[in-house]
Amino acid sequence: MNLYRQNILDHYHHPRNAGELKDVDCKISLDNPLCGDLIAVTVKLSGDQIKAIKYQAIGCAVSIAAMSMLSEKAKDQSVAEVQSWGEKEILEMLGIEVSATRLKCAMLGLRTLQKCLNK
Amino acid sequence: MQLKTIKTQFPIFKHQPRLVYLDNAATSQKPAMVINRIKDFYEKENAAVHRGIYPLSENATAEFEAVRDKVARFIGAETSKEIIFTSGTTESINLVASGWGRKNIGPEDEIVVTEMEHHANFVPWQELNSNLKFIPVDDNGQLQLDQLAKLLTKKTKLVALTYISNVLGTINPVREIINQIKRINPKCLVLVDGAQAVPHLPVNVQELGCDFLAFSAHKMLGPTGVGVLWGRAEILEAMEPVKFGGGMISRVERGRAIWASVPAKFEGGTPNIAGVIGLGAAIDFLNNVGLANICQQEAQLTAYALEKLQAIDGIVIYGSQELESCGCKCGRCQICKLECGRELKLCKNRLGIISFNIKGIHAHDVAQVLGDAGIAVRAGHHCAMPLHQQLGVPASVRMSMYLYNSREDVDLLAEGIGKVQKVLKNNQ
Ligand SMILES: Cc1ncc(COP(=O)(O)O)c(C=O)c1O
Repeated sequence: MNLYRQNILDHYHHPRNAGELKDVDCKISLDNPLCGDLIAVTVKLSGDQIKAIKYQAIGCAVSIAAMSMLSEKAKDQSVAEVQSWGEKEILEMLGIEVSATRLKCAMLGLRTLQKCLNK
Repeated sequence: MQLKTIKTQFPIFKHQPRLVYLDNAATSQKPAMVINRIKDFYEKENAAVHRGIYPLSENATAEFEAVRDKVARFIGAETSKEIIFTSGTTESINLVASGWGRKNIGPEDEIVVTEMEHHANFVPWQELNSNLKFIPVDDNGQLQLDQLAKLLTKKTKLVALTYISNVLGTINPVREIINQIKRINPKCLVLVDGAQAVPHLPVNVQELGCDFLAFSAHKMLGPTGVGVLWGRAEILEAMEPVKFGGGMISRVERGRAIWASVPAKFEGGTPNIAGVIGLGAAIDFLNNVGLANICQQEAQLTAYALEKLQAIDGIVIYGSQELESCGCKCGRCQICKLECGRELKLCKNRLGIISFNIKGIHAHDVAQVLGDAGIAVRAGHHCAMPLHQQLGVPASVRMSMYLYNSREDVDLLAEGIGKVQKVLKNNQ
């Protein structure tokens, strides 16, 4: 297993869309108390579509890379589409095998984003 | 027994020749002697205990009870009836919380714990009583014992503390602490969490002066699913059972039941017979090597590991990093119960558990890259969230050693950390 493939490391070291949006439609933060990872997401919508996502993340390479890739994948998608995503979509997006313990890290970004869109 | 020959007695290292096992604080590996004893029991001796009057069952009962005697001698208990078999440290502590605590701790009473407790010696007390007080831990990983006189009051019914921290490796001066507690409040009972101590150094409950001691077989070369609670006989006799059923009664009528005497009162249901017998074999193994030797060798290896890790760029090590040389009256030889006078470099006040972080890299990532290189360490809060809040980090990497570890393992760990830094450092 190689969790730390080049594209993962690239997203980890250079997270895309990192930061915080102003005048947002939803804003939320979620943490994983077991490992202390924390992601704060801000989203701008246009109707039912995600127009922009920015986030601030503290965590391991897997959780940060997953959030970074997710921020690109979810842009211009409908809220309903993003709400339908689960482990399968995240693993496909990462393109790596993730053990059960690290799956929580990989999923933190999507969980945060979905909770944000729920509000 | 030489180190090299010790390692060959653990089959896992034959099947996993590249394994660098540094997660002994979680669970230890098992020697062939223990595995074979359990297998033999199932193949040749299996029967229920305390029931049958046929020879097989009588023999199983005798073997089972012989381990109780062995455990009593191992920790210096006055009689074997003070030894209660449980499923592990967690159950042992919960047994005290339910069986003794519910009856003896009222809403006004207080319990004192330390900031370095494992959740197993913290959550049961939190559930019982909201007046928990904490002995704080200083920056050097030591308990701030000058706070003790202030924390203990007439209302303090129990102090629950660990002998060795499962994160910092700190060896607490338990005997002195208990002395002080009993001087301030002679009625206050003291429970010692021995999960990390009993496997690594000689422990004698009479010398410590505690009232309860809890530990797990699986961290001392024995099987999972077995643990011990030792308690003073008079306290156990006044304590209520918490598991009701077969084996723990002396008489049952339609309207009531009369409890069996100690220890059967606390051992309702068919026990983990093969597991207890495996624990007996583990104690034989430890006695053959000698806990004094294990303790001293580990102190030397820990000193080596501290020096080796300190040399790594960007590492933050938690807890005491002091070293001392073994000379007459060094604290270590009193702890290990060894003759002094050899010229050895030893770690001070700690045993072979070292938690650390690498700056700029999450503990999970460190452990993952090490794991992929065959080095087993743990990342997380190690069931000690309050302590990590105190350390100011959500998680740490923990390496923990035992009698089969060597300097080579430490060298491979240090090399592995170099690899972690290469993989995860931002140099793009
Ligand atoms: C200090 C300490 N106390 C209690 C426990 C709990 O032991 P067990 O899981 O065997 O019940 C552990 C082990 O994880 C420990 O290190």
